[in-house]
Amino acid sequence: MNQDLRSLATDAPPHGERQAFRRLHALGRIGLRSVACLAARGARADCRCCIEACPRASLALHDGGLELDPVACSSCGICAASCPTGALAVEGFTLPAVVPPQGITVACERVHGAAPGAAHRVPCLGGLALTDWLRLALTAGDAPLRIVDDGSCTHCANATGAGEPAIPLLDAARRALTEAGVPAESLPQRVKPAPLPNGNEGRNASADEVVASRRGFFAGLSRSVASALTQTTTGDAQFAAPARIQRPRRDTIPGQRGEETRLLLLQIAQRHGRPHPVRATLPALAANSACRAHGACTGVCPTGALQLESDADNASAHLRFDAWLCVACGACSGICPSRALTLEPRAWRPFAVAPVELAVIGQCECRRCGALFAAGEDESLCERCRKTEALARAGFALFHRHRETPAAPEGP
Amino acid sequence: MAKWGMVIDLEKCTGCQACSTACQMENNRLPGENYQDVLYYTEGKQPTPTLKWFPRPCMHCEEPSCMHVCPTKATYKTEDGVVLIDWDKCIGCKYCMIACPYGVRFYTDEKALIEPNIKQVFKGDGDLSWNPPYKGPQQDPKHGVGIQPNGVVSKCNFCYHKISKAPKGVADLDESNPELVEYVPACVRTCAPKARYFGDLDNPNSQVSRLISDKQGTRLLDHTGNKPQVYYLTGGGAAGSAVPGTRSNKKA
Repeated sequence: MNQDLRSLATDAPPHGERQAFRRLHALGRIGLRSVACLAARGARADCRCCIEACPRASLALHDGGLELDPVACSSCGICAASCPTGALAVEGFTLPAVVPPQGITVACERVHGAAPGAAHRVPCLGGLALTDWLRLALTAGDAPLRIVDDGSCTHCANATGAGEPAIPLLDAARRALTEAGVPAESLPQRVKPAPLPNGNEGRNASADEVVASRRGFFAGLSRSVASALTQTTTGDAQFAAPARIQRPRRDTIPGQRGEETRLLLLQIAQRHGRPHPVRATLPALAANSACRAHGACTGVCPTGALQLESDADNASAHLRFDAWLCVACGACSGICPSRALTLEPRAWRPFAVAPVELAVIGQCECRRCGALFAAGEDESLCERCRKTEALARAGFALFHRHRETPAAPEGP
Repeated sequence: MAKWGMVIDLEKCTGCQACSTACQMENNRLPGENYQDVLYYTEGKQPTPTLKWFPRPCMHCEEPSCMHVCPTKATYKTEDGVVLIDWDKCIGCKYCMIACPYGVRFYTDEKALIEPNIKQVFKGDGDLSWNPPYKGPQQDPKHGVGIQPNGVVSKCNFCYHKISKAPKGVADLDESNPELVEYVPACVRTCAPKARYFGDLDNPNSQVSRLISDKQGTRLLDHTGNKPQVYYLTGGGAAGSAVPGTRSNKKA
């Protein structure tokens, strides 16, 4: 999902204005698609993925919106790679479209030394998402995919406790590619950079940390006027501050990362003669018999991974779950009025080919109002009409001091 | 700041449903989708049954269970004690409808009561559920006022577009006062037998406060702890009268 912000901003967004990436800060290189941000939507999804992933603590949630400290930010893109919904984009992460015969070589901007062939430079290898790695592997095809590694990534300020920033997602990509039938020799390989013409092996990246990027350097210079600048530049139509979401409800997040991953894995697997990979990293959701098809989970699901549909003759409601669309935010299991849903976090599970049916709930028409409802034993009234009846009884007993059970109330 | 509340005198109420119709017109609702209705039930057996009834508006609870369950905080309580829905925030999950013990929240995905479906005849522009041929000038989605958009829950808003414009510090919104009549909720204003009273529950001298204490106003389903701000007068006190301690009978 990491794409060049400029092209995203000038191209007409496919789903209207709210779909456009907008700069988080006038001096930063990070854009936010606020409609896709789970934290901004606020619907019981306590998503802090980008904030926790940021190696320099440059992101923070303020008043329900994401805020960027452009001075601390190194535009490494690790936040964008960690975002489960692809709501963030960082400039400078364009992927090569054409494959030279010697294959694709990806390198960090700060790695010195010439790589074999013309290396494709990105601000940080950690900013490449799983979908980016898969897309690179798919683009490269049979040609080799190489990553330039001069050993400096471990000392880089973008590296956190896990070591090199690219490691977690690169390993996930390797595993997924192996599962899709890619032979070991075609997996992304690490290569040492070729020595510079003067024989220099290259220096440690941490040495030139201060001038990490030209933009960051000037952002640091203008620290004192940063806030003032933001105010004046928000009028700029192209890179305005993220607009407040007018209608976060109902519409689900389009442009799903999970869906992209599934399609890429299917294409790679089919290229290697398999119908689909055997396993993949997916969350799992289970519903028990307490489910009464209230539909609260499907309403709150930000990505449309949960769907509640009636079959043709309205005899039953089907709760369907698409694991690829699920971002494991936990909103559904948290809201379920009958506590019927259990969410299990991402793990190595069988490849989900189609949405699974979590529950089938028999339903019938309410005797009074005609609404479809999940019928329990000996129930002919929907929950709403039963509530009305109970209220009428309570009102009768309260207002008229009459303990006798009244006849059934007539509908409104 | 006032705490708006309503008193309904069941001794005066004739069950004519003028309130329901007024509500429907004021809030651009279809018949059967009005924010308030009248519940009827029969008492006694043939040949001498008696029909009893009581109106059911939103109770605008002091502790609204609908508000506490809302995942997007779309339902909120204003400073003047009204429970409203922000239609811009509502995602239509309907959890509030399950949580409300009084059943006074509405979602309009049910099949139409009358054929042809009026909403299909008068199709709404953009997000709105329909485009009524007669409509009020107000459209305020932040306070859940106006034509209901698709895919959201709606409810009685105590005619917030009217009462929010009332002069500050007014004790009662009485429809017989010509200066205040425009600020009175539609159901109260239209009530022919004048069975409804609307005023400030926090003001001990308001008519609603005096009625509640003098005539032992009761609240429906008080055991739920929702503390409704709609009180019923039954005449001669009701079984399990529920007058809050703060509004004790001053004459006693």
